[in-house]
Order: sequence, then C-alpha cells, then structure tokens
Amino acid sequence: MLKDISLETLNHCAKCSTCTANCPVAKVNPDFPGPKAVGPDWLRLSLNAETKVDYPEGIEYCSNCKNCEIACPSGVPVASLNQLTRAEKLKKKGFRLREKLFANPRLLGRIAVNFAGLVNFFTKIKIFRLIGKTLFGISENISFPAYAHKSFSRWFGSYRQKVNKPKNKVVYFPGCFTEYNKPEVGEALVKILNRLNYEVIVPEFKCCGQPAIGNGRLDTAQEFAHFNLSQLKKYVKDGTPVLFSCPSCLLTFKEEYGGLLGIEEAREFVPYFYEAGEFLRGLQEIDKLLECEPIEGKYAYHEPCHLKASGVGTPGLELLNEVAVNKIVPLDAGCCGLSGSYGLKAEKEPITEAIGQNLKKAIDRHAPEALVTECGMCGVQLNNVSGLPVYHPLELLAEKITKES
Amino acid sequence: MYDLVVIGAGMSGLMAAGAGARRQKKVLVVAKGQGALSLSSGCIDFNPGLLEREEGSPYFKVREVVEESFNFFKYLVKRCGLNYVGSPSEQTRIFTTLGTVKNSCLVPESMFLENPDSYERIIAVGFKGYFDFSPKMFLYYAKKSGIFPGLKETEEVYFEPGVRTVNTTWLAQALTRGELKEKLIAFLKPYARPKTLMVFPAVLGDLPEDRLFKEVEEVLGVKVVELPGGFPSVPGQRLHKALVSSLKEMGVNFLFNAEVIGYKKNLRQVTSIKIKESGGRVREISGKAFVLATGSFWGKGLRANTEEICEPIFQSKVYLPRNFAEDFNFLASGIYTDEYLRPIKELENLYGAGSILANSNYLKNNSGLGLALATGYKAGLLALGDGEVRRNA
Repeated sequence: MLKDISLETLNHCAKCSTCTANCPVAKVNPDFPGPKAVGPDWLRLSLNAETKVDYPEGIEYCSNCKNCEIACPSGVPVASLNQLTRAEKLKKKGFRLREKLFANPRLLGRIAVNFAGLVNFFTKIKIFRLIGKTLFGISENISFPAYAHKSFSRWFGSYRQKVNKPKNKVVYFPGCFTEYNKPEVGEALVKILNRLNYEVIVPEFKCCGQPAIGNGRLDTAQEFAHFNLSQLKKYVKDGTPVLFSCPSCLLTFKEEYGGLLGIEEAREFVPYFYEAGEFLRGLQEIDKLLECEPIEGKYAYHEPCHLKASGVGTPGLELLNEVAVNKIVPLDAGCCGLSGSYGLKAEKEPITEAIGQNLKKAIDRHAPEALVTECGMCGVQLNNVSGLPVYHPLELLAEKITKES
Repeated sequence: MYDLVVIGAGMSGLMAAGAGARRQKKVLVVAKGQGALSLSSGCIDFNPGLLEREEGSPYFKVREVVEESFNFFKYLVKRCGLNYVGSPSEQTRIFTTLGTVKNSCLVPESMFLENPDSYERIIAVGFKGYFDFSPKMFLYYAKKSGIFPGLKETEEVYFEPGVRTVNTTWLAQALTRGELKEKLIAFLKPYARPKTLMVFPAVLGDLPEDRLFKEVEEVLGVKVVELPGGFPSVPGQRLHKALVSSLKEMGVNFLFNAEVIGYKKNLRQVTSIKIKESGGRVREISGKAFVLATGSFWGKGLRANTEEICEPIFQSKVYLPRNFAEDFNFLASGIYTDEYLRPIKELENLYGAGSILANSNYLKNNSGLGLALATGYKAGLLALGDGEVRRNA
C-alpha cells in the first residue's frame, strides 16, 4: 500500500482548507468533516502511537472523487490518504454483502448481461428497490445503470477488423461499463481506430479495481491490478499504447496502481496509458477524418472528476469541437455526485441527489438537446437529473467519421 | 498546437487566457492545485498611488491597459452572474467581519454599501456553530468606526442552522436550498424595518450565480451586506469559479492536475513545455507563446530553501529584496522582466504575469489581485503579438 505516508508528506499540508472548500460531499453533508480533517489532520495524530485516536467519524462519506487532490496547492495525496483510513475502518467493522458485490462489477455484470431485459426491468420496480434498501442497504431511487443485451467482448469476438497493411496496433481496456452496460462506446472506438489503420487488441482483463477501492476492499483491488498488469506486460514491452475510454479505469491504472496500491512496477507502464480521445487527437491522420459531415444539434459537456484528476485535460471535448456546428457547452457544474457505486448505497442517496442539483441547474440554464461525457456512471447521473440522452464523445465522433465505410 | 499556453490558473493566468479567448485564439491553461486566488477575500485591491511609489513596480509596464483589463474582468465574471462594483481610479470602502473598514477597488456587489449614513439600525446575523463571525465583535468595532452617524440601534441575532458544527462551504450551499432558506427568511422577518442594514458573514450562497443577498433584500425590504473574512473564503471560491467557467464557455481549454516541470526551445523561442501528469507520466505541449503565471511562494511559482529563491520551470533570474527577513520585504521577491514582461532575454515568446513578478509587495502596495489582473491581461495581449499594445508599452 501507499508507502510514503510519513510525517513529511503530511507536513506539506498547510491546513489551508482548499481541499475542504472543493469537496462536493462536505458541501452538502454536514456529517462529513471534510478531506482535511479526516485525512492529514487525523493521520498526524495517529502516526504517533501515544496520540492515536479512534478512526475519524464520517470518513465513510468520502467518495474518492479526487477533487481534494486536484485542488491541493501543496501536492498532498489527500484522497489516497483517506482511502487507506477508510478501508482500514471498513475492514475492521466488517464488510456488508453490498460492498462485496459492488467491489467487483464483473460478478453481477457477467450474469446480468445474459438476462439484461429482466434485470433492467426489475431494477426499475419500486417494490424490489424497497426490498433492496431494507435487506442490503441499496438506494431506493437512484437509477441503476441499464445492462446491454450483448457484452462488448461478445461483439468484439465476432467482429472482423478491417485494417490495411502496414498496420499499427493498440491495446484497449474496455472497463466494466463498456463491457456490460454500454458496448457502443468500445465499438465506436474500434471502428474509428480501424479507419486510422490501427488494429485493436483486447486481452482478457479483470475490473480495473476502482470499485473495489471505493468499497474499501484494497486487497481485491491489488489482486485485479496484478492480473491486469501481467496481461499488459508483453504489449507494453513492445511499446504498444494502451487505450482507455473510461476515465476512472484510466486513473486507476495511471495513479492508483503505483500510488495508493503501492505497486512499484506499475509506474513503468504509465507512459503507455492513454485516454482514447487523447490518443486520437495526437494522431496526424485524424485531421483528415475530422473533415467529415459536421455534428449538428446542441450538446452540453460534463467533465468527469477522474478525467480531470488524470491530468489529460478534455481531449474528447476538443475533438468534438473540431466537428461540431455549435460549440459544445461546458456545464462546469463540478462532481456529478454518483461516484460509481457510492450513490447506489441507501445512506449516500441524499448526498448524491444534493450534489446532482448543481448539474441540474447548469443543464436547465443551457437547455441542451443531449449530453456528452466520458464516464459511464456520470452518464447515469446526468440522465437521472435531466432525462436527456447521454453520449460518450467517441460515439458521436464514430457516427460521423465512420459513416462512409 | 495552441496559440497561447498559460501556466497557472490564478488571477493573472486566467486574465491572460481571457485576453486570448477574446481574440478567438486557441488557448490552453495548465494548472496544478488551486492557488491564492480562491483563498482571497474576493475583493480586488488596487491602489495606483501606492504602486507609483514602488521602485521598479510592474505597474509601470501595464498602466495603459488597467482600465480595459478591469472592464474585461467585470464582463467575464458577470457572464456567470457575479457582479463587481468599482473602478481602478477609485477606492471602494467595505466592512470586514471584524467590523473594521477596508479600502479595496473592485468588490462583489454583495459587499458594497453605498450610503452607510442612511441606516439607523444594524442587525448583525451570526450562525450557531459557526465561529468565523462574531456579531458582537462586528458591532463593537462598527459603532466605533464612525461610518454610521445616523445609527440608533443595533442587534446581534443568531440563526440556528440545525447541525452541530458548521462547515463554511456547507453553510453557504445549504442556505440557498429550499427549506433552510425559508427558515432563515422567516427568522429575519421580525427584524426587518425601514432604514435597516443586515450584515452577514460571506456565506450567502456558494456559487457565483447565487444571489441570496438580493433575495433577502427583496423579500424583507432591507439592505444586506456580506462581510469578507473566514476560511475557506466563499467569495474567493466564487470568484475563481466564475472566471474559470466563463473562460470555458468562451472556448478556453483547461488541463488540471498537471505540473509543468520544464521546457524545450528552438533558437530564441520556447516551443513546448514539459508536464508531469498524475502517475508521473511526462509529456510535451507545444504552443506559439507562453505566459508564466505560477504565482509567488504560496502558488509555488517561487521556491525557497535556506540558500536561495528560484523559479523552477524556466530558471528565470529572481530578485532578492534587501533586508529580506525584515518587515515582510521578502514578499517583493520575484522574477525580473523587460518592458514587455519577458523574464528571459533568450526566450522571446515567454511572458511573466502576476505575483511572480519582482518589485511588487502586496502588503505594502495594497494591490495584489489588481496588479495580477492587469499584468495577466497585458501578458496575454503581448503574447498574442498585439502590435498596438507593444507600441504603447
């Protein structure tokens, strides 16, 4: 686990409270003392055995959105420090069934994708949600992401890539959301890459581990990380780029593996990890494809917190703006509040709803026809608060770019 | 390839980016962490009288754009519903949470009090569990200040937000939401009479577009004023958010959570900067011109150790004030620049702006944010090769 928790790291914290001012949870929930209080402040006391106090109250409310880390002027890994403490506290208390389930979306996804119609139907029925709340502590009103009828890998397995020689290669990590909920995103990426003469390789992967981290199961996350890295080893050795369409998966591979989970060798992989839009934008050949039929309509863009945290900017937005007739409106409403499985827990539901109000306000103000965001779960929340359709930038691009073929 | 790459998202960096966006240029702002802007009181101090007395002040290089830049700033924040009052040629008097009087230049509309002598009653509104504002102390000093000659009556009142401890940003956000807002207004109603001034700590809404102070004014028929002070500073957060949102809407691209660690050059031009992202990945970003707006010590634009002070990205030459440790002289440290705000002779497309510039001590010239605003704007214009600006300089 994170190795460099020492007094020195903590002492970079100047107690300026910029992190707390930027915490979406502390803003709506008075029971969460904020990232500074449960993070650096508490750790300072507990590093010394004689002053060690009980686990900080309210730390369960941290959603690992990373806004504290992004805002910190002194480079303190506030969110990661909080994940460690939170995981320790949860482990001591004992995990509930829902934490175990949410920690690995593949468990449910693999089954649900075969009975998608049924599962999607039942997760909308009030009485089942009520039962879920009483028995498992699962939120009653927040929509579950709908499952697809065919997983991405099944589509990919039967899809014949059209690539001319000499071809280039990339590895793609689809992530659980693309795999089980929205395979269209992966399909879009594969088709765009094929047009650019890139062959796409999708090795067998496990979940990235972010849901496991979010549910306090750091051991599980580490196990996933080791498996995923071992699957990537031979490609990265040849210098093959690895692409991500999900910002949370990207951040987990880039930052959490080497940071929070303390896997030293993960750092060597980092130079090969790309956000999909970022990779496309970097290709010279893309310019020609962007001279396609323009994207019409009024879209608004939501920037996922984990995309912001991964330090790649908003390449998807920049690409879309090259093709869009009307400039895509940035919502700039901050965190969506759902934070993966966070908002699917009963006690977090009011928090998620309250944070989502900012999104709703911004959407109402701009009145777009549809919304765009890279993160699947942010998309669920965007749809929750607005009822509008939500697209991944790759979907909109692919529709225009791959039209002729 | 960007027309302009700005390093730093504080006041000066954002104004430089704004200058570019205004001319429909492709602009990128790279930033690591939130600096001093969001911690500020939200008031833009600017005092030409004091600046003129400061030897070698950057003020002398930006004088002719002050008016234009201040107007543009007001336009930018107004796009997000945040109004500022004042002009660079005059001082605006406001009150602080301590009841003391502070002179600033541009102030948020919610802090502006036009005719203090017309009020006969002051109601100082505190919040139970919120310790950054003491109505008692405010009234004690406000009465002594002599600013309210017609004052006949004061009262301190405490609203109960219904939680044990009050986090500033929670309070600011909660007061704008249905139930608590109505409770607050109902609580204040009995105190609403003519010629009444109600003062609050600056927590009336967390977002730039929240105009809770106006709502309270309209419903109760009293004058409402917010007082800066307290930590974290809600008006500082609003100001930062308004500028960033406004620039995003104008098409400026932002790259957060990335640290600039070096640069590449060709002949006498910076061609790209090297950035370090999360996880330690290093990559290059190329541009036609660059603005260095990384702030002073707090913003990490200047790094100090026991030996020296340095500017870590371009290694620009840094000015060390004499009697460094006395009387806050060290605050005047910063990078030297030529008349076009360029720190390094050999790098013709690099410009410096904001508190990283030498010979500006904000404690002494009372012009911190104002000077950052004007130098940022000018650096942006110069970086875009604005011919007229260059001739005037």
